[in-house]
Amino acid sequence: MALLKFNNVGMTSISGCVPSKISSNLDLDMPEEALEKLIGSIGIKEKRIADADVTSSDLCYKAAVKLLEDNKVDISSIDMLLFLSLTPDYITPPTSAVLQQKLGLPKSTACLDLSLACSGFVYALSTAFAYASNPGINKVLLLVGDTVSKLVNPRDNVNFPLYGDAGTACLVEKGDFDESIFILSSDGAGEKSNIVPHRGFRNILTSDSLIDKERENGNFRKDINLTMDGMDTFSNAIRNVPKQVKQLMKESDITPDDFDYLVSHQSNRYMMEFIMKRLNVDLDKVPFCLEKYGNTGCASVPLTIVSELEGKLTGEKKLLLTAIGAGWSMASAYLKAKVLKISPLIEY
Amino acid sequence: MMNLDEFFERFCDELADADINKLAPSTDFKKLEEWDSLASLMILAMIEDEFEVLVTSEDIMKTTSIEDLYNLVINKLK
Repeated sequence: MALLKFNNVGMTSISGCVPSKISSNLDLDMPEEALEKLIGSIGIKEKRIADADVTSSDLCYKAAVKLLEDNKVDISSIDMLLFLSLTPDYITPPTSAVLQQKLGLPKSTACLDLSLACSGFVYALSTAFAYASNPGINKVLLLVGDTVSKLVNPRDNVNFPLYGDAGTACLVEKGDFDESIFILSSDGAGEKSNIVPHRGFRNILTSDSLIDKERENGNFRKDINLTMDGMDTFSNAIRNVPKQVKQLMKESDITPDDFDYLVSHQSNRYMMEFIMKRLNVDLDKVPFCLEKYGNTGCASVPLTIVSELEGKLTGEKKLLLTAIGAGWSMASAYLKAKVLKISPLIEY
Repeated sequence: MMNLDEFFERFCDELADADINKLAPSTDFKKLEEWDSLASLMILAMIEDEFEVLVTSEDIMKTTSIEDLYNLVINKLK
């Protein structure tokens, strides 16, 4: 089991940026009754969609500038920049390097791109903690964002209603922090359950990849679009997320009464509520932002902290974070937020 | 262990809008008007709650009747 423990490192500030353009699920081309049922079960009324010329890194850049300004961070003190996204600017160069230059960070800054789906932030937070635990690195700027709306087909009523776009920034640094605990896992048996079949190098992009094809129940997708097996995703999540979170609680020696908030990946409301029921976690402790922003992929956990917990993390607050994504990649963390400064959410 | 009748009852409970009098263990549940993506998730949730068995979309695809599904779950328990 990948169980990680860190001392004297923590998150000190966090920010987020969402596109200003709203895409309402009420506008979907579906019979009224079916639409009501859909919105009721996924819990997503609307989401934010980035313009064609706005990328994940643009959203993260704005969030980073906000974070650096609000907290008067000396940019020369940042030793490392991590950027995690499914939707980077290029295959190469690394988007982290592009962001380093754009943010004016020194050339001595280490830059690293990471790629994961919805589990991304919690996974990458452990990466940031690991680097910041090293004597040579004091501050890590972690930028996590996605524009999943650009991977889904507007004629796909399974995936299109779910995904919104967001970028986030988070500063991880050395300091007087209590122990934080992470558990990480994955199960590649889920390879085909959440997949963008073409665009990578297993199935090279061809002109055929770009053709809208009719799929199940009259939904259309190109082979470059994201496709999801909803039943498999649900089954795996309701089975494995509670297990991992229970394991984390055991390792952290806490019960559902001992923490202040459980910040979960915002997948769909019905699934999240079922998972919380299995964990005996009171829904008052579970912030939701998916009604307004949808499933924002890797950005959903930090976006939820920014949009729902601003002003609520005074004093010492105990947080559980948990997220599951494609490849059944799962990450959960227990940490105490002592001095976490949350910037108000901004729009692009 | 839950028997077929009890499983059938729990299955019907999840399909709140269905006319239970028209259902039987032999019913081809995927042809029901009430069978949609939400209904399928509710059935999966019920199975996870009651049996702690992982049912995949492929499993659902290869079953026809409610009884088939019950048997599939029981076989996974073995």
